[in-house]
Amino acid sequence: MTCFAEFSRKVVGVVLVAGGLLAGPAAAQGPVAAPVASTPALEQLLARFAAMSGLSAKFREEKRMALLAAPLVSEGTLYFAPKGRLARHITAPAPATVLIDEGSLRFADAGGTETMSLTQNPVVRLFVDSFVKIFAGDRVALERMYTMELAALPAAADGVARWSLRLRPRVAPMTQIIERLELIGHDVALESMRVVEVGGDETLTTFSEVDTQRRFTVEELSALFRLPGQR
Amino acid sequence: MAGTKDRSAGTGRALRAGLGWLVIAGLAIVCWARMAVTTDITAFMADAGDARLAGISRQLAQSELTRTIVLSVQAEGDDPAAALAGARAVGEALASDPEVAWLRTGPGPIDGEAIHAVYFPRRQYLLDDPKDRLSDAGLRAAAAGLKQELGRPTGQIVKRVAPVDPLLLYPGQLRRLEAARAGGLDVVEGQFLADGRHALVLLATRHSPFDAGSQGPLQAAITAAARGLPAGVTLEQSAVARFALAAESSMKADISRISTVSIVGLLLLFVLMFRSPRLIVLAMVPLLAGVLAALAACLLLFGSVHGLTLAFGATLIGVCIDYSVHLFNHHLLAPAAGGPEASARGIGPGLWLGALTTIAGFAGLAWTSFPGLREVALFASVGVLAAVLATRYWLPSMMPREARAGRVATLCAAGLGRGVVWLRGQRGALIGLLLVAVAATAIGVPRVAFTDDIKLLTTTDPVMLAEDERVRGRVARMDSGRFVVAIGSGVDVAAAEEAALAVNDEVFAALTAARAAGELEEFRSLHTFVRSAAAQRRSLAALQEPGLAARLDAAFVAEGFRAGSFAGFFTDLSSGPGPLTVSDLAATPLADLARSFRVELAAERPTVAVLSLLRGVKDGATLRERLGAVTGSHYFDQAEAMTTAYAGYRARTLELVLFGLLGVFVLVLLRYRNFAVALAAFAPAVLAAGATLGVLALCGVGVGLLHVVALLLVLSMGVDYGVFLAESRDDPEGFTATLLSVVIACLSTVLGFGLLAMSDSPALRAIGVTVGLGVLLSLVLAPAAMLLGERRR
Repeated sequence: MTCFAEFSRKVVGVVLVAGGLLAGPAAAQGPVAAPVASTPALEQLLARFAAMSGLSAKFREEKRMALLAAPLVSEGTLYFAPKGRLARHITAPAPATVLIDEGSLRFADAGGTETMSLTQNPVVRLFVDSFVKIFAGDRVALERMYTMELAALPAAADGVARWSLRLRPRVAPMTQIIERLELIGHDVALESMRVVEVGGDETLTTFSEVDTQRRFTVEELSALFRLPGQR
Repeated sequence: MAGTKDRSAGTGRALRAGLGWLVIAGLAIVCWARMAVTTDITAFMADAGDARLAGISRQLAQSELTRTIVLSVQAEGDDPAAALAGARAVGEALASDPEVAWLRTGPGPIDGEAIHAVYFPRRQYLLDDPKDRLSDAGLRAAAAGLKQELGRPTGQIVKRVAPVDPLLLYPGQLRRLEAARAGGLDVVEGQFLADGRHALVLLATRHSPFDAGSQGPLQAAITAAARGLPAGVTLEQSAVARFALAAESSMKADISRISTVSIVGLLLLFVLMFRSPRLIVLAMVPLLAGVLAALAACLLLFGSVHGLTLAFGATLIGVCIDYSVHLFNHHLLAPAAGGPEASARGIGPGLWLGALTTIAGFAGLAWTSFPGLREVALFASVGVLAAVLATRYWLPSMMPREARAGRVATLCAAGLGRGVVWLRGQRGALIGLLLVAVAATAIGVPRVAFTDDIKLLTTTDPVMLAEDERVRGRVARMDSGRFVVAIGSGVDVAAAEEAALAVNDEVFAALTAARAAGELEEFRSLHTFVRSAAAQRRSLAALQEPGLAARLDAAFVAEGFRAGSFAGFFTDLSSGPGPLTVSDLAATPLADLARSFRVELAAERPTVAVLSLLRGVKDGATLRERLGAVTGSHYFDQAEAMTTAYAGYRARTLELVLFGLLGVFVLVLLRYRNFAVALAAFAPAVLAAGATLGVLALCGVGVGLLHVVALLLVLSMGVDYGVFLAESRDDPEGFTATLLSVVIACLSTVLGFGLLAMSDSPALRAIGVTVGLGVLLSLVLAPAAMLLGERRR
């Protein structure tokens, strides 16, 4: 039942825009491990993320769940604009849009639109921040949420030197839901991200046509970071 | 011996005077100690007829629905951040106000655990429309829906509940709660924001919006908070209390103005007529006795007095002072040998008859079902009785034994005497006058247009109303005074509640269909929070259908789910708690919201009413017809119901007035035992009332309940005039004195009522116009009829 009570809190937090279910910041709820020993490489990598003028990439996401016989696959384009604006435009199997900015997460698909306040929903904020803070290269925020391990991967057939960044949640309730995040990339370009959940489900997102020097015009910002049909 | 007799008489007079003042002092103490004025217009709402709906109407008037105030803050250039900051500042300024029961600038924290504890274990009771949703096609649609949910950003969370809730009954309930709670408002940084620019503050008051004593200071605090906002940031509000305060303030100002100017006017009139300061002061004595006795009676019997009743008190100035004027005129112009006591004795029968006919007219109102009108009936009857007692037995003991009429009074009396002599020769003119009145009655009365809108009783500032509507539009509040009520009775409250909830389930279905058909824009129902136990059991029974588990599994497998993933759902079905009741919500943040939909009614058997609030009803008749199929439900439009009730009571009051008239005529006939004299005393008042009604109709004035009540006043005073004149018919000197009394009485009444006609309050204005016109007509018609009657005799 504890699991469902937790679920209720989250769903209430998500569904009831009124939210604010979890009273305090999640960081206050779990033990805080000592910060990772930062390597110059991690610092450099995050600094390069932070220096990006913007990012766009095609993505393919596969969600493998115990409930489903086959993975849920979606494809689309992702845009990131400093500081902290993220847009996912899904094109297949059905059009949908997810927008994240400083204070809210907005979602639209054929079933309708939904807006939730991240300020009022710390749990959702933690999920959202995982991605946004990586693209923003916000090391302080990331260290508050995860222990991080950066490793160099053996060179593949293409000869490109790749890195692997593994993040393990260190604060509840993320620790009860996510086991780890694994990011693989080269230079500042992300190639894949695997989210492994505590129950064994996982989501693998692979990125292509990554443009880490993307600069958005005002018109593009306006067009890309909004829900369809909204001004 | 004569000296001893004089001394003894003097002592008796002093004793009587002293005793009178003691009574006055006693009444004054009662009034001072118990004084409480109300302006609650619901006092003028019916409390009989359909008692249940009237009960709901009254309880709603005091409920949280009317106690909620919405404040809307907007900043220059539609800057949302400045508006939100302004709303926070206003919220902080008002949060600690003792009149504020609760205040919210945003939806606030939700106790998710409490909501989960109530709804999640009862998810099996939440299935709507089981026939469709549990069909093979419905199950496939549910599977597709779950798959779609899993692909959404919230999919991580949904999938954790899906194995034990594949139909997403619990998340569906949470969504319904969210819609009901946020009311369609956007939430930015934890605060309500409408249209992206209006930051909102919602608050509820502790007391009724009609309680001026507590609402006045709160409105002052809101005004102060608005003044404290930075330049360019403005505050608007929607509050029932504001209208009630404005009405009360306007009514108080009217009463104060009318009373003051009326008294000043009367003093001037008396200075001209009586010259003696002592008589001028004494003229007020019956008035003082009447008002104090009436006020004390109301306060003792009802605990408070209504503003409109007090307005009638102001009108009593015009009525009660007639008695002292009549006494003074006889004492000065046709003095009796035994001094003022003898004069009082001489006019006594006329005074008593006049007073009794007046009381007979007012007493009829006591049979109406309006608490307000019953109060008016008591006030007027007691006031008149006290005034006549004071005039007959107390006033003479304080009057100078010998006094001479002033020059103006003597001249007026002489002029009236000459006028009477001249009119006696003008039979044709007198008949013509009466015929004009008859014609006005005959032509006008059939054209009377009755206007029974309750708005006739109150003034609404159009600027305030426009602001209120703007703010209401921002929060999409439900229409005030328009709702559907589902009523259930039972052996106890729980049974009554279950019966009402069962009706409400059907109402919910009917309203959902009505909304789909475009008959209304939106509605809110308790059904969102809790449905009847019977409906909940039907939901469970449907889910326990043999074979459903296999069909569901097959449908979900067909949509890509693994077989057997949802077995836990069916295992849980037999182990959950009982159906949800309203009291189960007590521990949740939804308790207040749910409670506002439920009203326990005073009835022989325990009875519960469950309300559904409506917005944007396009066609009340169609909706009423649709709900007609739901037994135990009623579509209630407060304004429409009040208009119907007022029409009914206006008609009833008119009947009572006519019935009262019959009683008045019998009284007059018994006194004079002469049909012609009785008719001459009685008919002018009736004709004056008829002609007044006719003139109002010809001028296009809609006639409502208060006009009818005012006509009663016209009839009462008109009969007084007729009776006074009839009493003096065989005494030429006395007739002239009486005629002067009638003229002065009429002038004093017109002074008072003429000002009422200029009142801001439509209620007072209706009374003023009717009485002012009616009394003037009585002044003309009463002597004319008496002179014509004289000829006949």
